[in-house]
Amino acid sequence: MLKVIVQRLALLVMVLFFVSIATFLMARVVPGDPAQVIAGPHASAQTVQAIRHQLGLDQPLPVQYGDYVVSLAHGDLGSSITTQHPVAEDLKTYFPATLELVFYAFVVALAVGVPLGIVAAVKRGSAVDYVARIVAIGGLSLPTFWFGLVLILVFYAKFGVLPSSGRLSSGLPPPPHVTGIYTLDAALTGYWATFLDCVKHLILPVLALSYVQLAVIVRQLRSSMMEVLSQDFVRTARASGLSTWTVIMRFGLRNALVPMVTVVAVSFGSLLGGAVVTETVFDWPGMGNYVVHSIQSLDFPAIMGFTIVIAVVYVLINLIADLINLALNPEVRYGVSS
Amino acid sequence: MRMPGVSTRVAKATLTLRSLLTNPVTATALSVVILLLLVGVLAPVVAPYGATSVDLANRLAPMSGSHLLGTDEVGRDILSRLLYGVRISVGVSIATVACAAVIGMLLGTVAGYFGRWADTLIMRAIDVVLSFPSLILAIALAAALGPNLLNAALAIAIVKIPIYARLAYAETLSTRQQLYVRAAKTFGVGNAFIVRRHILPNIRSSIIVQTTLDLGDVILLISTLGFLGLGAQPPTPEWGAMISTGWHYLIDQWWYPTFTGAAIFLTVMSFNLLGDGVRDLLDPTGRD
Repeated sequence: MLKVIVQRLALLVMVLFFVSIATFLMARVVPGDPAQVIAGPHASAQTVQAIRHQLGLDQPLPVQYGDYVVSLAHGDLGSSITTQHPVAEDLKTYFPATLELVFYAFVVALAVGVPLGIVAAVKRGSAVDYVARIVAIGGLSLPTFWFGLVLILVFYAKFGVLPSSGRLSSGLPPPPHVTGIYTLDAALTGYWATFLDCVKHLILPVLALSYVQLAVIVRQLRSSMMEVLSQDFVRTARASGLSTWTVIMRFGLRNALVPMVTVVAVSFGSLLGGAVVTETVFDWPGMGNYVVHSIQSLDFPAIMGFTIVIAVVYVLINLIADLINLALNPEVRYGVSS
Repeated sequence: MRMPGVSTRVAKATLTLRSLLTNPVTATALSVVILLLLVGVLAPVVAPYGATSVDLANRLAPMSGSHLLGTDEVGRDILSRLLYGVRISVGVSIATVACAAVIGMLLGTVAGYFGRWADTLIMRAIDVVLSFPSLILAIALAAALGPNLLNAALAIAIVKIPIYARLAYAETLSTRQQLYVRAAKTFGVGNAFIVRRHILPNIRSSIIVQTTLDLGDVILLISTLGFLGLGAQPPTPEWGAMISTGWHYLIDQWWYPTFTGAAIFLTVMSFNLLGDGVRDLLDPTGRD
């Protein structure tokens, strides 16, 4: 088991190395001349040259890449052209808001998706199965940004029951800073009115963001559960007189879990992508909103800083999923070589 | 080694179509997709107005007999723009998926068939692409390449290549070990011929299933990039870009962004349902 973990970690280092090359190419090579972008269209050749020198862009590419990796290793993602702050600082400021949104969306997607997927597979052809399939195909076909707008139209514009933007009502100060996650901070410090307001602001964006992933989870779990339940050992278990519940939980779910863990990891990545869109629609002050504003001003250090942070988070999540799957696989756990 | 005759192929195609049509959901989805393709081709004929004909006297008009879905912020007919938009959303998506499928298939086959450094180089590059969430990578690439429709399509094609490469790679690896392939090698048959005659036909059906399943997703991605300002630029009647301006009018002219989004939703849903039907037909293991 330890050997496998070490192998995975070595692979992780290699993937991160290539990720750094990919973002370097996207930030420095593909978009033409970053110095020109910073200087603006009317700058003199001298100014552009000075900026180029200042940023080290007059160095050969391998040297530039070396500098890039060294600064990445120090957590330096460069400075944003628009905010003039270090990108790492900016992202740190916006990270808790995104984490809060993604976390709740993840919880909702799992809490609804997992039971729905299981019941649909077990009671195949029933009304629940029918609902599950409609939910799944609807979620896969719905543009997240449009779904968000429809939610705003119905719950904010039509019925006026929920707010449409931001993390808090205007005039309400944020709770004392502990983690930056407002619901958690408000609960920890006992600001219950603030807590309630945070929850109200979370409902629509979480709904918009979680639905697509819910659909993915339902679809995947339903089909892998059905596959497992149709196998011989499940029939044997049933025939040996075990209760339906035991068969489903110990034999069905246990075996459907392995592909599921991978799907959940991938869906967490999709949530991070979906957050960019959701935050834009609901004016949620997170990293996604930050990157969309950066895109509008062609702020490449900010865009690529965001991209590399997300890639690292995503690679780590996939590593965790891999390790969970290894732990679930008895062949690896008991040291049986495959 | 005679190729199947034309009549056999026609019979086969008819049979496939007939099996597709037995499922009412798939049949409906297929009809909608065919209708969409027709609308795309015939947009100038069926659209009541031009896609970019401005009518400032008629800004943000509500739904009426002369403008069935109202008009936008410069008085363009929304219905006409939606109809012209089919060309972009569906047309560009088909081209994007086709590009990704061909390149991915090529890369996967080369990696799987030749192995060694081709395998290492190609499949590690694929791993790198997969180490980004797909939407984030598409956003970063589209931003780096510069915001326009072609670059958005290119970015999405790059994001989609790994799926096809991995499919082709896995199938090639297993086919390469088959007795008939090894026999062909023993007889001195060239690599190109083996790939064309023995490997590619085995990959084909899984690639077709994947492309139909991907079309809906690519339409969503194109419209998402358009919505974020990274795809088609105004006044192109691209659905995502239309919503990106239309959502400012959400409260007072709700029909503008709402119908545009509904067009995306219905289109993507038809492609997804058709994709499910094709998968059930060609890949019985995933059948419901």
